Amino acid sequence: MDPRAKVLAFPRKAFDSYSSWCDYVSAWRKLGVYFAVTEHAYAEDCPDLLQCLIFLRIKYDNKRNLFHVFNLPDGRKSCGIPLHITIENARFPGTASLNIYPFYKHSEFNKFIAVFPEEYINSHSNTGAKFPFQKYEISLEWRILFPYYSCFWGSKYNNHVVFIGDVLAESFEGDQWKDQANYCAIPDLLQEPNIDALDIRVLGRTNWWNCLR
Amino acid sequence: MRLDSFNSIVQFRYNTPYFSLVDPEEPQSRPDLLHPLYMEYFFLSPVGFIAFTDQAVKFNREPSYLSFRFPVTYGDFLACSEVDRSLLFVPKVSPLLDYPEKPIWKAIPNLTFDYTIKDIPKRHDWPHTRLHYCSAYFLMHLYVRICEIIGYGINSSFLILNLINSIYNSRTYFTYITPAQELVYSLIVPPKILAALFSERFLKQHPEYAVIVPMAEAVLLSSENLGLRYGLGRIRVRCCMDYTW
Repeated sequence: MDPRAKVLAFPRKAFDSYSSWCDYVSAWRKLGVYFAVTEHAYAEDCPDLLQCLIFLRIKYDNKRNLFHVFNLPDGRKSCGIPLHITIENARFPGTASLNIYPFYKHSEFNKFIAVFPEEYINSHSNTGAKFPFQKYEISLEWRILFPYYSCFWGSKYNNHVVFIGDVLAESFEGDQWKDQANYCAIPDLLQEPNIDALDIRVLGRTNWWNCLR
Repeated sequence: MRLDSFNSIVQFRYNTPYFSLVDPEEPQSRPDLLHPLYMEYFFLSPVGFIAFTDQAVKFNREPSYLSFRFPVTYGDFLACSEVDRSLLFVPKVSPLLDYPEKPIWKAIPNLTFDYTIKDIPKRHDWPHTRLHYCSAYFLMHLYVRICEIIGYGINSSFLILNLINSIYNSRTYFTYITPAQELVYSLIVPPKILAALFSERFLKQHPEYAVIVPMAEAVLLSSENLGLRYGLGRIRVRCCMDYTW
């Protein structure tokens, strides 16, 4: 990711508990300052700041838990596009840009502009179709709620807080989104040998008991 | 069913898109598609997680335990839904020390299984209810074991009357798959249940048995503990932290 990109990052303590989150938000509101953005290069090396990351999945439909598989240029498979949340205008690849600052005690949003990371733009689907967008206005199936994250992530400091966001394939135009061959169930993907490390971490937290029979 | 089958670990086979319960007496091809079942526990207080020391549990594996994890045997998997015999009966002595070599179900008196593994998918308690029962079953035996070692009075009425419902209502359970393809049902025992099991005063006064792990420290430890990493995200902090010491 471009080191100049400014990303949303909160002190680690804000995610300790719901009351910590409320305390943090209240303190900022009293100051009249709402912005908590910092340069990605700085945040990446800072263990005390948690960057907010959306793990964007494209879901086949709202009945089956099938997700679009991206075959990345280096051979890895992934079904979630990592997007750092930012409140700047969408410029840098790998960011999800919000047009408002929605971080209050009860914070939720479901719309943002995604600028996709280079490796996903250069990926192909299982049927060989190229990823057709560089930038897209996403409307999620379910809202993302703060501070209820899915898990922590980070190759060095565990300093990303990950929120899973699903968008239905019907939101996109084009045949590749309708072809079920491009989609995969989570347990199937977890058995792939070359799955992306973030995918292993995020998808591992799956409700497997819904698949028991 | 043969005795050694009852003592083997419950396995599921994944055939897209379902996990099917494996009959331990049927030969299995492709063992790479088998997933063993585990129950896991964390204990949460209003001020952080509680780690029990080895002095309190005597598993002789680590100095203290932030989480407990048990593989589930077929015998225990069947036993846990015989609620009146396994969950409404509080043992005086927990057989958990030698688990899974000596499964818990063997210590339950008058236990007879009215059905086999093959019948489980047809039963009304399958699958979510049975996993909740299984979670309550191991938690009860873990608790009894700790009480037995430290000499603490067992809250039998809570175990019999409230444990299952409290777990269900807590909504602090979740499931995950490990990189080793194990299926884990994890329960974060919320402060309300913890307080019913052990008094706040007792936990605070006996650091030789229980140590408080502040949330900030738990976050750091979560990089090494997969269940904790997911669990921290799962805690509906709003309801868990309503209860205060």
